[in-house]
Amino acid sequence: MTPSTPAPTEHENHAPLVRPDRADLTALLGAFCFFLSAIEYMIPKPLPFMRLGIANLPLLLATELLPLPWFLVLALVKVVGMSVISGSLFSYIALFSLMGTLVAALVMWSAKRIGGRFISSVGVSILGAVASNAAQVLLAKYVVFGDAARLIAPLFLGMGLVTGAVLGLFAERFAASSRWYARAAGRPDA
Amino acid sequence: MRLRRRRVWLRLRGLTRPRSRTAGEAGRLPRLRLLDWLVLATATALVALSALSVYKPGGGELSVFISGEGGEWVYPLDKDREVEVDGPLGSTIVAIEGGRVHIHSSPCPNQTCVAAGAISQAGQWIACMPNAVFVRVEGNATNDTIDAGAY
Amino acid sequence: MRDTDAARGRAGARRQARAARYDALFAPWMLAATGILLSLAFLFQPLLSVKAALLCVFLTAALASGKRVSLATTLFVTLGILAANLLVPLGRVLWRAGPLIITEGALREGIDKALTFEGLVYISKATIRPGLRLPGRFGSIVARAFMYYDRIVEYRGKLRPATLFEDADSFMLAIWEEAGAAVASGPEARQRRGVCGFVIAGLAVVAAYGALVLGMTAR
Repeated sequence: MTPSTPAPTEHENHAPLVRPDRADLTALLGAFCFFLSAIEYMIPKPLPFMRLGIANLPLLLATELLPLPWFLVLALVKVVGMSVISGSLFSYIALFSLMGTLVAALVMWSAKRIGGRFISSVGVSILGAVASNAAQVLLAKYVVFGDAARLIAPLFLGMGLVTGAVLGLFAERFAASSRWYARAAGRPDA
Repeated sequence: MRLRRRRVWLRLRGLTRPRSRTAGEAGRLPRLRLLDWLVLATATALVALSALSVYKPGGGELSVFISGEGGEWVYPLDKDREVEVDGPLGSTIVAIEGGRVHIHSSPCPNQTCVAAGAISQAGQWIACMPNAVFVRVEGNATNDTIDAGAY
Repeated sequence: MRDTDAARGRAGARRQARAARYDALFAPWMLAATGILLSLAFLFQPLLSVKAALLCVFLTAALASGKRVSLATTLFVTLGILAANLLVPLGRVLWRAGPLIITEGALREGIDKALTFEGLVYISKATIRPGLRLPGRFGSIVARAFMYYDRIVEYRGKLRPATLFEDADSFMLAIWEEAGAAVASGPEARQRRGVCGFVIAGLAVVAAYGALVLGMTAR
């Protein structure tokens, strides 16, 4: 976040020609986070704190598309950009978003790396969603709900399980058939 | 039954196979792998366990009720704190420590309330008659039993 | 039906006019800086009455900025936070009905948390403008993401459930390729703003910190 000119830290000349510009890909995925969060906002929910977490879908796809530093930049772009669009940057809402996104990002990244070919996007997504919701319940305990936050814990964990599974199934199928995904991953079109 | 087991076994065999994508496969549901099932099972168990521990009947947390001259106060038993309650003789200091509550000091002459020690179960109570302070532990548990007390 | 649509259109136009007036007064970066300062002063304000008064000021500012303000949501969230905090009794018993106990400590805590939550929301609404550009390399990536976001919102293709995956794929490809071909939009035309905005923002910050000092000493 220092106001400096971009420093050439990446060895871009070693990358094959098809490899897309990471900064550009990060921005594109970030924009999809904003878009999905706008859609999420329009879906009516019984509780204002309830989230489906569909804005984490680009992060899930990015576990295979971006190296760790860019992946974390994407997580931050998502949080900051969404907070600027919705005008909640200085509120607890942004804090919840930051907490949920960072935990989901780190858990999904680790799951993908450790699990390797023994895990698909479904497992990665469930882990990320459940961990993210658990972190948000913990934050809710200190910030808004007090000790009663534990009462909503089972509900939120269960919701993470369901939404995580559905998003994971979507991501798995999308990644398997998408020409865009193949190109973003630097693979020649099938 | 046999058919079902065979299907599960077949699925398990495919679990660790690296992805091979053909045009025909894109139309089907993705195949889950070994760790996916493990994650699914663990997460389901976690949700069930958290629901059981939070919503189980009578499983509410215990509270300390303190009544004195000025009214009644309630505090959770699981957080340490000291409460000063005013009575006709002066202030009684009630201490909640490590999930137990006792009267730390009292201006009363006989000091039996201090000698009564600490209580921690629903239904237990300590009273200090001279200073009109009454301390009791309560919860949502249905099997409240009164088994300790001191005057 | 058409009447309500028309009314909604008029309300939208009024909001846009307010937003234009607001933006003519304050530069986005200055509002953001004001927002940080106000958030801190508000967060540490110990007096609930002052906090409530500040909340009303911030709500008014959010309205003046042309942001959509939903009182129903505010009320709903506030009641939710209050109810959750009252579930765990703490402090002097104010009122008791069977298993329901309203305690002073829990009520204070709930009011404080609800006021803080809502106050920060309205500070953000009033001080974060869509035109805000963050500095540095990270800021340029966020700006690029906003550019892509505009394209996504303007995309006219369809997403049908039957061909969801194919449609989503063409969607992604279209956004990416179109943006790659497009020239990055130049910097926004600099708007000249008078000293008036500075004075208003400065007064707001001074007032918030004055209230903070007042609250700290009154305690």
